Amino acid sequence: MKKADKKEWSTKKTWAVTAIVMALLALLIVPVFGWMYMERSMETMTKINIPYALKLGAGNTRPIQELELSNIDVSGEQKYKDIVFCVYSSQENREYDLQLAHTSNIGFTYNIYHAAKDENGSVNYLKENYSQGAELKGRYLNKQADSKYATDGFHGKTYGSYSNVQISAEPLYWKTTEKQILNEKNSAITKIIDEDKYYVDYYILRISWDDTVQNNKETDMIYIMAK
Amino acid sequence: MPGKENRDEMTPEECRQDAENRKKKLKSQWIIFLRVGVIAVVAFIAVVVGSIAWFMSNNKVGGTGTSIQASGGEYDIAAVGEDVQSTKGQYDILLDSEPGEPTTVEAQSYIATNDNKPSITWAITEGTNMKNMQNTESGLEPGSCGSMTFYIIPHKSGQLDVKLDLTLTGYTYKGDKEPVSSDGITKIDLKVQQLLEGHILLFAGYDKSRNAYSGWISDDADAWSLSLDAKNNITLSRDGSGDIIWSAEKIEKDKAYPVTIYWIWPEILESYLKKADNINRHPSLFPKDSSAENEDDPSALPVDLYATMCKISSGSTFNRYFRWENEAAFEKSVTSKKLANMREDMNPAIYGEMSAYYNLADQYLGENVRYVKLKLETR
Repeated sequence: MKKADKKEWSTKKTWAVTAIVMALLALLIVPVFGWMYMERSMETMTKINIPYALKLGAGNTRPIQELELSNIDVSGEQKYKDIVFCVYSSQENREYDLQLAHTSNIGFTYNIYHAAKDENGSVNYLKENYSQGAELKGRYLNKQADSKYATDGFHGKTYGSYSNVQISAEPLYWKTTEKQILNEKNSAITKIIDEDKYYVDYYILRISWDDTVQNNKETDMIYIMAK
Repeated sequence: MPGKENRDEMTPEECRQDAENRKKKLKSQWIIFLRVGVIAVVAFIAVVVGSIAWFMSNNKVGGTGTSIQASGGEYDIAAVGEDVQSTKGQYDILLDSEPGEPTTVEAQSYIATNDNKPSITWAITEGTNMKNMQNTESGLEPGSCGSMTFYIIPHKSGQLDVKLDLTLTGYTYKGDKEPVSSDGITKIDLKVQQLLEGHILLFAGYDKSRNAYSGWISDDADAWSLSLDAKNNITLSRDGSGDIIWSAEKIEKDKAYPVTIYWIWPEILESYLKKADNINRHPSLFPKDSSAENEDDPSALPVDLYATMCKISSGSTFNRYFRWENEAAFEKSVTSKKLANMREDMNPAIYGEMSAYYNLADQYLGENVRYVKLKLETR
């Protein structure tokens, strides 16, 4: 009886296994597309430009907060004060304009010169020496021909429709006449802590005065911009 | 039956034994039958379900002479384009989907989806692009903006509701070589993705004369409703749970109905803050204040936005809108009250402090995301 039973059982078993295999095959072979039929989609890809920053630094790429101009004593022998700032970026051939804006409460004269890091240079700022180069080519956009004050040219842009503005609070805008370029030829190259190399242009801002300017606690605001 | 003897020849003992054996056998047979039967039934169900699914599938079943079309979509979506070749985007090689099918609707050419091609690339033209036209070197940066228009082409007249899902996904790649296929890019991590969603924004409306946006598509937006076509009563709206729905009461089949999405990477924080009053270099994203009378105003500032913008999760250095290095300093400088005050009365010193954090976030976004995918899914 046992042998016969075994035979019977193995036949049933074969049949069972075959049925299972067929069911699995049926599930695997027949793909189900049905439920997706209502959906549609459309897509596109674009890229984000790498943000090469154009930075302004004090002295030799020091943080801009170190640019100090708070108190200028005009009674001394030297009738000018020099500060050094720089424009730098890791993007080669980056072009920019330099702009200076200032109010005219104090009768200061502002001049910007190209500069170079130079151990033997005559200008010392933030513990480094620089030598003075040629004056940076630029002009005032809104200076009156015969005085230190600004014309009305940019009043609207600066103050909008507000009209109670004292003449010396009208800012004077000075801008380079041609774009400056940061590249190997024109600029110094410096490495800043394990980052890429930076192209650096140094400038000296000379604030000078004559005898008409006195220590009278007047204040002016000055902005240096690079774009 | 083995061992079956003539009944008469069996002893009562053997008879009973025989009966017992038969019962046992029957029982075991029943069990086997049940087991196998269940499997067989399941297999049968699987085959039936599979057949139904196959018939319902997207594939057209063609016959000779006439074509039998399987039940397909109620509509297709498309973008304007003459042909596939000239409307390829510069970075389409990084996508998995293929271009759609050129179609003509009312004498205008489109590249569209159909039952065979439900997922396609967006046809890129001068009027519809994300700075990704062919042979372009440009890309996105703070201040970039544009629009992407798509069309819904219904296949039946009458009423139609379509749920729109618009997502921006950021990608980057390792190494120096620019990737040439979707294998070469990887999704950015979730935190930077949040930053992407807070800086590259999508809107449903834009008023050129006021340089003002409306209908913000974002997790942080409030509900709004925009009328696209008064005659056929077509509206685009965002409901409370964030679903964007295009709803048309009366549309005709085989006509193309446009929907334009405006994308912008606001250059400065001021765009999030100011109301629109005159044309200005920087647009206003939320030109009006929210009001109780007009709850679905698409131009209104979302009620909790400024609070959301200031949220810090401890230990992180950025949220969707700002990035900071010193958490304590950020918490002090940027508060929802200050943001709201700038809206009424701009103070350059206070604003300047806050916008520095926005700019830091822009810088971080630009450094960590190389590609952005805009995907429209409809249901």
